[in-house]
Amino acid sequence: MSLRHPLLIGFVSAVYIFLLLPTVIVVLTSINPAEYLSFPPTGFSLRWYSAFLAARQFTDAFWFSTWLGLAAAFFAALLGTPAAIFYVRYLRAGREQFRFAVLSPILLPEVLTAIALLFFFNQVFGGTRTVLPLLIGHVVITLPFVFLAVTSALYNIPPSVEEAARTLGATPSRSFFRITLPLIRSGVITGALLAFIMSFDNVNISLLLKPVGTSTLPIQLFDYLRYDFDPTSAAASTISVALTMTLLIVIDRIYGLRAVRF
Amino acid sequence: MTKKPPSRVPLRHWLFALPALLLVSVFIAVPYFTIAVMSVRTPSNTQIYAPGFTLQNYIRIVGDHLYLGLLADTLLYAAITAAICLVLAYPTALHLARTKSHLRGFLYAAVLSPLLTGVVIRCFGWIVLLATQGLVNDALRAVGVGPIPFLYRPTGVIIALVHVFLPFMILPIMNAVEAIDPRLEEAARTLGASQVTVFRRVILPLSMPGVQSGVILVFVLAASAYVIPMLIGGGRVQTMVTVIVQQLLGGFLWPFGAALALVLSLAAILVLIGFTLLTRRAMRRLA
Amino acid sequence: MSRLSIRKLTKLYSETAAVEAFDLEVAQGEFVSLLGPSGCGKTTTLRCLAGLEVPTSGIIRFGEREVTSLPPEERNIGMVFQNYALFPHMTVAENVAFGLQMRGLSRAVARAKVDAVMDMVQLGGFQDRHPRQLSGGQQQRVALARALVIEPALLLLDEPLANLDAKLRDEMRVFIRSLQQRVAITTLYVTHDQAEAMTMSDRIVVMFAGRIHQLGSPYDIYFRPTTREVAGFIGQSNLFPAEVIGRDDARLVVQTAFGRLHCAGPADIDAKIRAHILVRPEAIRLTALGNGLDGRIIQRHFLGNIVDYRVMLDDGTLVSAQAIGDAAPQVGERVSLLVDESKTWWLP
Repeated sequence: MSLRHPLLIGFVSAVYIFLLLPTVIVVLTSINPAEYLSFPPTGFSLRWYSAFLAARQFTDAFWFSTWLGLAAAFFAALLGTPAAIFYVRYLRAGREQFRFAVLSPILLPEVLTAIALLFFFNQVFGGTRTVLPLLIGHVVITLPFVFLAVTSALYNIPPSVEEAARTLGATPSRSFFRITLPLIRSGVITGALLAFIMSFDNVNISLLLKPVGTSTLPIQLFDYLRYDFDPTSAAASTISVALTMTLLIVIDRIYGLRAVRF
Repeated sequence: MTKKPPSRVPLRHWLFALPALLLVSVFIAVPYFTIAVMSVRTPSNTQIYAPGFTLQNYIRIVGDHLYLGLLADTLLYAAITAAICLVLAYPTALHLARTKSHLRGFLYAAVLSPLLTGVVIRCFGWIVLLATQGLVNDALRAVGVGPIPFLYRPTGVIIALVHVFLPFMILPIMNAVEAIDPRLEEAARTLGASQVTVFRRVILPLSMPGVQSGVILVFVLAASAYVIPMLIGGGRVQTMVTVIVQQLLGGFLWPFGAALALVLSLAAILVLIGFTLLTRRAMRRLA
Repeated sequence: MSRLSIRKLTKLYSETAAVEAFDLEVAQGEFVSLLGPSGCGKTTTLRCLAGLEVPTSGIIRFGEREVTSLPPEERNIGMVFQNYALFPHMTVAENVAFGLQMRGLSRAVARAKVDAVMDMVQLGGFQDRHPRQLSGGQQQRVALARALVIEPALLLLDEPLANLDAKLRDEMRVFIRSLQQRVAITTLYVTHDQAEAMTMSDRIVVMFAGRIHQLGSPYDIYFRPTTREVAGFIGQSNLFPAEVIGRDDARLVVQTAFGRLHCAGPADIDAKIRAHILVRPEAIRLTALGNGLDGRIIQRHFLGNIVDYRVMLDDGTLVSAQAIGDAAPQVGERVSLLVDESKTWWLP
């Protein structure tokens, strides 16, 4: 397979540019002094970042997204890690069904899940007046990522290691805490970081479940972009991208990007 | 080695899985069920639903050209998106799976990172690019082509859909090609096959499961997209999903929205079943 | 620990018996191998001894203590796994010290013991390395150190050399055996490699399909196999039909294609029964045509010190024979085969 054929290289390069261009454009817009982006760029300015820091709606939304993401990641890790351990170590029959059930939130269309939860919370919980339904929605949608990352880590543990600990005198619980948990730690952290990123960027669930008066950063951007064009949104977007990119690099350092398999 | 049959899992081990299972059953299975139930309730203008059950929602949808047209548009956009994604993704996935370049890690990150950038932000970039005063039209003007309206048109929406969901086509195909043992290709070459033949007879058929997964994935994602049609379409390009969400947020006709959602899901499933059956026959013929 | 006693150990999976009616007594300090092909039940037996499997029935005693249903952590055993099973997130010293930690020893005391056992396995100075920095042979020695430092009552090894290359395997065989003798620890060793079992063991248990076929010294297993499976598994063998026609003191008189022979056999056989005699290739001699059973040489393999022959007899039987280094006969020649009757053995 001749991978160096110029036509292939050219085509593939164009595809990569296509993939990355919009994000790059947003970053350029955020540092562009003028309101409209033109080529060649007219200069460099951080005024839109000052505007962002001064805009309460954006900064409030940013912090809200951050807290929400941390909480969702925490609970997703709390529930997803034992489920992964169960799946890899204990479950014998019905493995495919269990796996499908746990992964279903990311297999089903997100907007449908959001609608389903909207109906559910309005009929069962009395509405979305509190943050709880939103948090639950985010945990549901991010738990599968923790599950995937932790199962991957478990499969990477050398076989017989836990049995060896038992033969050396460790009770099952000591073996779990001294051997199993430390070995899956990087998987749990990777899963939690992925969960945070997915929660931070989420639109559909947030849109339908958020209580009146609150907003997440993506929703705020969404509202702005529907009615107005303002490079302050570009600054907000770039900060968001910088945050998720940093976390991605952290994941790569801890565990390697190949862990992110869907 | 004597195979061990599945032994009973002790109850205390199920406690590990219980919270996650509970979460999924209470907050996925039950809510999805409520969509179905909601779709046969009586719609009302003043509350979520009025008492009583009815099939009028479905009757209204099936009988109205507007909604059927909307359904057709939605599925059409999704199909076009999947097709374009396939064309763009296949060579890219092939290259990524087989390349030994030291850039491989970067390229993989380049495919993955858009997924971790919010869809709103990516649409933002397209708005800047595709506006009449935007960069693409600036470039077109420079070569003498008049400004092409992308925004608020299906064209722009499809471009954005393709962009956002392209990684979901690249990754499954890449995985499928990676799973092909390179020695199969080598064996074919030693048996006298040219590069083209190797591709046609070995790689293409074996990559089909990945192609299938990718097409299904992108089709479903594109058919259920909300943010992209809303932002790029600007309210002038309507899909089933944008109409449904507007029903739910803006008004009270939830039962009707639920029925629309189920009709869309059913239609999409039918299309995908048809697609799977067709490709299964094609796969058999290729082999 | 005094004796290891296993009585009627049986392990069933659904209806299939992985191990059935396994009886064994092992003296203190003895090295016993469980030998057999894949699936014969040797690993299952070992795991029952370790407590990693629960037997369906049977009793296991370490000395006076009955341990049949005790969990592994309460049995005071040391186990070495085929893939070493070293803890990847700990250093070598931490790995070796793990069992001592479980037993509550202080850091200082543990450290001293770890250093001592590391010297014993000739890895002194490797304490602060990580398993991934070690070669296969080194990892295996760390696993051994980890199992021995806790001074267990019983040492269990599950095909520990299977993942090593041939030369390393030879070295490790000698190493493990001499270490075991130095420490005088009761040892059970599972392997499918007969050379390992033969060179290392005081006694060998040969198993097929979950059952013990023979328990004996390497000499007994080789020269006096009790079943045809055992004869076929160890070394090469030739089986010729034979009819017992009488006894002559300690030996049986049998009628075979080679004529009337005196062959060794169990004392309780004297009736006129049809059976086989086992003749190892080294007991068969090639001579000039006309002196014995005639045949044609169809294969000849020169191995340096010996020559392996395959001879097709005129009646269609294929025979394996051996000769010393520079034996002359070549492929295609017709020869006669003679049997050294002092080296024959009766088999059912």
